[in-house]
Amino acid sequence: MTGRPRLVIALVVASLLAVFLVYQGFVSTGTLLVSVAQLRSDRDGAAHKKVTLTGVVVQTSGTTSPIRFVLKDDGAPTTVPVSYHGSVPDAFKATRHIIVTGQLHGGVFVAEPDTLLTKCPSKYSSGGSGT
Amino acid sequence: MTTLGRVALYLVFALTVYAAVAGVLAGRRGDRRLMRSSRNAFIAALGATLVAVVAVEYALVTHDFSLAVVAEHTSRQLPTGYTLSSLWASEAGSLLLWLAVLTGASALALRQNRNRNRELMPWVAAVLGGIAAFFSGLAAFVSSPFAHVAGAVPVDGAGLDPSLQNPYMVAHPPMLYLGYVTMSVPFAFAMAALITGRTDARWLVSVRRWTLVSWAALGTGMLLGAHWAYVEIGWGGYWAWDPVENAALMPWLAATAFLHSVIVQEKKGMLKVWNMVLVSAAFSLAVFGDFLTRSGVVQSVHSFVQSPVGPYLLAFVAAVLAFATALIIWRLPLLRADHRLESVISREATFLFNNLLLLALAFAVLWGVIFPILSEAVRGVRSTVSTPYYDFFLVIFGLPLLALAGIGPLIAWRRASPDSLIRTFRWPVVSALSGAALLWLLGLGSSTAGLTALSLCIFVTVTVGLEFARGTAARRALAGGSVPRALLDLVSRNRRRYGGYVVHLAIVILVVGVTASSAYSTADSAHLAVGQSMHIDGYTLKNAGVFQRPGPNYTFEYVRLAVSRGGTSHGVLEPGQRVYDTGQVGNEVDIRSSLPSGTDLYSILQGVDRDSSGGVSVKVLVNPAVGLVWLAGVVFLLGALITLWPDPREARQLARRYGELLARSGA
Amino acid sequence: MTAAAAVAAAAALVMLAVLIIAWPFVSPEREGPEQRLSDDDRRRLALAEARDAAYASLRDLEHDLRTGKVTEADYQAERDRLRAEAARVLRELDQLR
Repeated sequence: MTGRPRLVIALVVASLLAVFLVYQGFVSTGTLLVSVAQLRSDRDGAAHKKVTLTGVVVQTSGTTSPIRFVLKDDGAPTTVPVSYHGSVPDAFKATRHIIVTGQLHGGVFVAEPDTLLTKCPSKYSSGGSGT
Repeated sequence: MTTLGRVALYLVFALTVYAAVAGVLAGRRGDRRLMRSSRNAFIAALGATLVAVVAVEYALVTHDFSLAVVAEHTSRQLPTGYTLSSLWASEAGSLLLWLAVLTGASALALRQNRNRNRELMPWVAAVLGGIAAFFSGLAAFVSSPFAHVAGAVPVDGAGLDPSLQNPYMVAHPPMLYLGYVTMSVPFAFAMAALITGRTDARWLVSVRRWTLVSWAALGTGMLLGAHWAYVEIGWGGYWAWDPVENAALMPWLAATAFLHSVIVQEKKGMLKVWNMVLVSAAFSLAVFGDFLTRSGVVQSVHSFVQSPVGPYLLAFVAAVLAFATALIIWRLPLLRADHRLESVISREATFLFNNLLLLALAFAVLWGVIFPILSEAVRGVRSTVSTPYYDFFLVIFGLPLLALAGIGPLIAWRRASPDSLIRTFRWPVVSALSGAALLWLLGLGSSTAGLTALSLCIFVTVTVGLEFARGTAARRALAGGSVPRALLDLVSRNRRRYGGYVVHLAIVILVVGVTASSAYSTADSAHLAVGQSMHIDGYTLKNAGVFQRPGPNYTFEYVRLAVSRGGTSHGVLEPGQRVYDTGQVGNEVDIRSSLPSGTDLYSILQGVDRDSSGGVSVKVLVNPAVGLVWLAGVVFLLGALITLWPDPREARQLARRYGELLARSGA
Repeated sequence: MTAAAAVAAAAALVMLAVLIIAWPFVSPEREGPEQRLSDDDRRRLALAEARDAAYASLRDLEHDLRTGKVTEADYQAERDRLRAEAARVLRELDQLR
């Protein structure tokens, strides 16, 4: 193509890229996904902002809201207590890998409601509830 | 039986390797017998795959827990239907399903074209053979459904996750696999066209239908999954931008782009290189999607943890991309356009913008999926993105796309003059603006994006309606007849165009449903003692007590919520928890759909007070118009079917064009 | 299924597969080797496509006129252009005969 159409197409492509870069650069920086050890060691400021925490459930006060449970990393001793209320996924129990979003307050990870997700490691199945 | 199955899988691998090699030789030598042999090899491979499938099903039904796939996903109490469908509940079993669809689709594609496309078919067979050899190699050597269970053979299996014991979950994987796998056929044709230098539009016609099937299957598969998530996972939504959901969305977006740009190539001989790139991208994204689902490389509720096939799939995607890129660059001279883009205000340009937006959206989704991996590699910590990121790009790229869906059909090819533009767009624009004003007065201005989306929906609906109305009128002016007759005639003579319009209507319905149920929905959580009520959006829900009820293999504990609105009773909602005999727990939401508006009253039981006082924690959502999302799926299928329906006129024209040629060369 | 039966079934499966892929070589020869398209043939094919595309565009144009997407003036101009293009393609096709 020649001349004006080519220019317009180029401008459109450039603006699409620009939208993308502006968003990435200024609006959103994403939420950190950290392990228990990374949370405890304040990696990248993880202990002072909203993060998504992942780990294995060691013990839990129950399987329906509200719950308090202890999370630990695979193969490492560091643990953190988590306090959560909201929808609890069906597969939630001790020994499950989970993901939850929230913030560390005074040594306890206070989770945001309805952000708990579980994974079933040995199964090709959906084991969690969404946000 | 298991031994037979194992042998069958090795046989499939050998047959597909043979099919690929025979295809290459047949292509180079023009040997028809080798071509037929290659084609037969796919049929034999399909047969052998089915033998393997029967072997696994036999093991499932007879509860042979010595096999890992049986022990990990079924139990003796599992109903037979779900036992049979648990073939695709396991990773290795689902690979077998993939293989069955692949060999079947390949055999069908080769058989359909046994008297056409003579020069292309050996290479189509070679590429399909290569793809099938890879996947059968995975199933035979890396992740076999006949693998033994680790350790001692258990007495009973682990059972199927309760949330998967649902008809939608039975249909969802096969439908998605149909979509992913059939994308191989267009890719194979495109590569064959490049290899033989036969880049005339013949391959497009053969490929169009397969792309439509793949695209329709992916779309339906996604909606089935969304519906399952809505009723079964139960958080009140239906799409979470989970990497595995995105895995199906990305190839679907690429396929949508291709279905549009292929029209430009057929009519104007433009975008030839672009179409080759799109087809390769769609196929690569389909395999990449499979990689995302199986590899556990991103956090997802679906993912395996480090399944062994992951690295192989990634390597395969890289190989496919390299192969396609090399071929496209080699054949670049043959892919020169017949016409140029002359004006930005033309139908060609709208298709091009449509493609750019669809790909921008696909790229944004892809970035969102791989960003965590990249950020971990660079910074050592994973940074994830979630719904706000995806919603932003969906709105910013999706709304202009929606506008284009209304503009495209009404704009002329090559160059539209300002006069004709004013004439054709007058009514749609006026309707959309007045609609916007009306919606704003009705209080829907709370969400700018929502209001814009709904106004654009009005715009598109009016343009589609005008197209049908004007087209019918033109048909009647030409050939007389009643209105229904003329309409039927019109659609049947222009299946692609009007089928496409029906699909656009489906998208409009989908956008209305999604906008209403997200931008205008309300949610509330509350703790209710017995007799206590909560209020949401005009509804009142009262805790009428906690009860228990036995089921076939579970006990169901639920709260009875009495629903009323404005004083009149609206029935009850009974969300609760199933405690299965195996110890597993399943949360069951209760949804009340009101038919005219499609609004759902959605209730979730989050907790029961442990002191047995009957107090509960519940979350209730009001999702307006969510029923439209499911209706959109039905209309979508209808539109896809209309577009797929073979047109005898087109077939005749093609036969005539190639017949002239063959008659001349005396073949 | 006993081990012997399994082996027998597997052997039968393999033999059947070999038979299926070998069949085209043992069955009587029905057609000669593939005809390749000459460069002239490819040119003819491309021209035939261009001809059909021009006719299709003319049909589309008429449909656009009847449904009010192009003005009468635009229609005349575009129709003449498309007809000229179709004529040019037909002339080239004739020359190749």
